[in-house]
Amino acid sequence: MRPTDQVQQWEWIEAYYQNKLPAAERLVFEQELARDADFRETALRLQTADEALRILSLEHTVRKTVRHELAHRQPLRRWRLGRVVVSGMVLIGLGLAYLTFDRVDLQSYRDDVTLTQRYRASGDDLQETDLTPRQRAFYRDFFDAQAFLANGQPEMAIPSLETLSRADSLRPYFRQAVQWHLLNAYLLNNQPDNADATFQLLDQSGEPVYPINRTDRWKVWWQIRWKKLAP
Amino acid sequence: MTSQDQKLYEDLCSDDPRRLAGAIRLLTRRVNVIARRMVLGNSGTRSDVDDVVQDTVLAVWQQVRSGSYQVRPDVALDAYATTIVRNKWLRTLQRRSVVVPGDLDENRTSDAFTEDRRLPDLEEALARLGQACQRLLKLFYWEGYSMEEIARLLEITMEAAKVRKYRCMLRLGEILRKKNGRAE
Repeated sequence: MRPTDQVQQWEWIEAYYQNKLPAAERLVFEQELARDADFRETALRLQTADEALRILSLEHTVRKTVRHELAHRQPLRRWRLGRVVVSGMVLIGLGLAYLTFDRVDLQSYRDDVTLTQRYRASGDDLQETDLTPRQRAFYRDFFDAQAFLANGQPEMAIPSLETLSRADSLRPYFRQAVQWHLLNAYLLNNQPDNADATFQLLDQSGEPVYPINRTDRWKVWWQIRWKKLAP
Repeated sequence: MTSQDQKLYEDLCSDDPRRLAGAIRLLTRRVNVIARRMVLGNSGTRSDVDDVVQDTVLAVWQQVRSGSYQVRPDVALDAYATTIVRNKWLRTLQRRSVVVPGDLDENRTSDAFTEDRRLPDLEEALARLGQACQRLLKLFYWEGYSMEEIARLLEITMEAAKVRKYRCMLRLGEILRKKNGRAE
C-alpha cells in the first residue's frame, strides 16, 4: 500500500531502489510507478541523486586515501633523508676524530733516504769525509732529536731542533725537515702556540721541498687548533 | 593480468569503502613508482609526482568503475596506469610550455582514453545545492552518520532532518536529470 505521508513515501521509494521491499510490495510500487507520472518523476530524481551521492562519496574515499597514502610517505622520505644526514655527520665525526687523535707517524720521516744518504755515505766513523764538522754536528743533533721523538721524549728533542732551526746556513730541504720535526715535538709536548708559529714558518719557507704527507699536514694543522681550543 | 591485478580490479569496483580504500592504497603505491620514474625523469618535481599520482589513481578508478577499462589477460594494470600517467604529465608539460621529450610524446594516446566527465558533472551539480544541503548530504553519505545523529548535530527533529535530506536529494536529482536530458 502506497504511504500517504510525504516522508514515508520518500522512504518507500528509497527502500525500493535499495532492494529492501518484499516482492509483493515491489509489485505495488511498480504499479504506482506506471500509474502516477509525478510519483515516477519523484522516484527517478531520488534514485538519480542517491546514485550520484554514492559515487561522490566513493570518490571522496578515493581522494582521501590517496592523500593519506602520499602524506604517509613523507615521514619515510624524511627518515631516509635523516639517515643520510646522520651518516654524513658520523663520517665527519670519524674524520675529525682521526685528525684529532691519530698522531703523525714520524717513523716514515726517520726513514727518509734523501736526508740520510749523504751522512751515511760519508761514513759515520771516518774522519775523511766531505762533510764539515759543523755539518756533521747538525746531522748528529738532528738524528738524536729524531731518536728522542721516537722514544717519546719530545722535551729532549726540542732544544736540539730549536738550535738547528736557528742556523742560517741550512739547505732548504734540511731546514724544512728540522721545522717539521720541531713542530711535531712541540705538539707532542703540548706547546700548540709554538707548534703554530713553526707551522707558519714552514709554510713561509718557500717552495716545499721536504716531502710532507698531505694528510699529516692536515693532522698537525687540526691538532694545533684542537689543542689551542681544548688545552 | 595477474591474480593480484584481478583482486585489485574487483576491489576497485567494490562499493564497500574499506575494500575500496585498501585497493586504492595498493594502486597508489604502484602508480607512485611509475610516476616518479616518468615525472622526475622529465623535468618534474616531487610535488608534480604527487599531483600526477592523485589524478591517475582517480582516473583509473573511474575507468574501472565505469567499465571503460575491462580486464584483459594480455594487458597488466600497470601498463594501463603508465599510459594515463604519461598523458597527464604530457598535458602538464604542455600547459607549462615545456618542450616535450620525443620518446614521451611518441607514446601518447588519445585524451578520450583518460577523460571521464561524469564525476566533474556530479561535483558541479552538488555544488549548485546550498551549503546546508551539501553539509547534510555529506554527513549522511560521506561520513556515514545516521539520520538520528544528523538531527542531533543540526539541532532539529529527526522528521525535519529527513524532510531536508529528501528535498535536497530531489533538487540534486532534478539538476542531474536536466543535465542528462540536455546531454542526450
